[in-house]
Amino acid sequence: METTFVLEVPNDLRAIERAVDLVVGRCQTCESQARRFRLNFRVALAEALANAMLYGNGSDPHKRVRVDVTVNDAEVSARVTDQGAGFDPDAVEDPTTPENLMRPGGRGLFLMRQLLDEVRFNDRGNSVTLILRLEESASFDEAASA
Amino acid sequence: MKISHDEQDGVAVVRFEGNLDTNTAPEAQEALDDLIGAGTVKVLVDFSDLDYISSAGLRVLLATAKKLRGGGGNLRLCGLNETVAEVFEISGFSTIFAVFPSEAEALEGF
Repeated sequence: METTFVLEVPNDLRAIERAVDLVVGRCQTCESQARRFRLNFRVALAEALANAMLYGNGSDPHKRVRVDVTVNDAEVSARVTDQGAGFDPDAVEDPTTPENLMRPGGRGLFLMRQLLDEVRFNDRGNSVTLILRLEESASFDEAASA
Repeated sequence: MKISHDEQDGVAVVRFEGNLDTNTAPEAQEALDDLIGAGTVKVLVDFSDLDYISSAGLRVLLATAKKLRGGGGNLRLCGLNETVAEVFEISGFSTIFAVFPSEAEALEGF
């Protein structure tokens, strides 16, 4: 069984916490990975929304961020789309290298990638999809076939 | 987010309660900047009541540490829950900050 829903979030940082609560609250069936969903997914989604509002939409209060959520037996995914021109995620440097460790930026995207199973962007770079796999066997099968 | 602080043996102990994220980071930075502006050189941030920290929260800590170290001071942290500790670990922050389990241990020898 698959559940999908969409949130249209105003471009206001104060709306992030409520949006994240709404998504997490509507996906209570994710028991197999409950801790990772409750903690990792929450932090990653908050990062994605903040990036979309600040950098994608340029803090423009007239713009919005769309969140498309899909939950099924295999995974929960949230596609976060802003109304900006997009960016090149490959141009973001690793913030954990010695030369970047004390630099202030670049950690949001890095955290998303580390906290979740998959993070992918569309070609334009204005839409990021966050994926948390729910079936333990999925990662085992992938590892075995790699 | 709630922010409170007191002083113990010349160390400003700052306690954050709630989420240290994009929305609350400016308020947290202002509180820490006020302490530094008032001449505080040793700051201990107690995260015991913090639910989670985002990259914006990490930037606050980085900026605060730089300001303190620039003035000959230092920043210590304590009371990280599992989520905050994981964010510290994967972002490399556990290697650049002095992190202690409790306030008492963090204050010892500070």
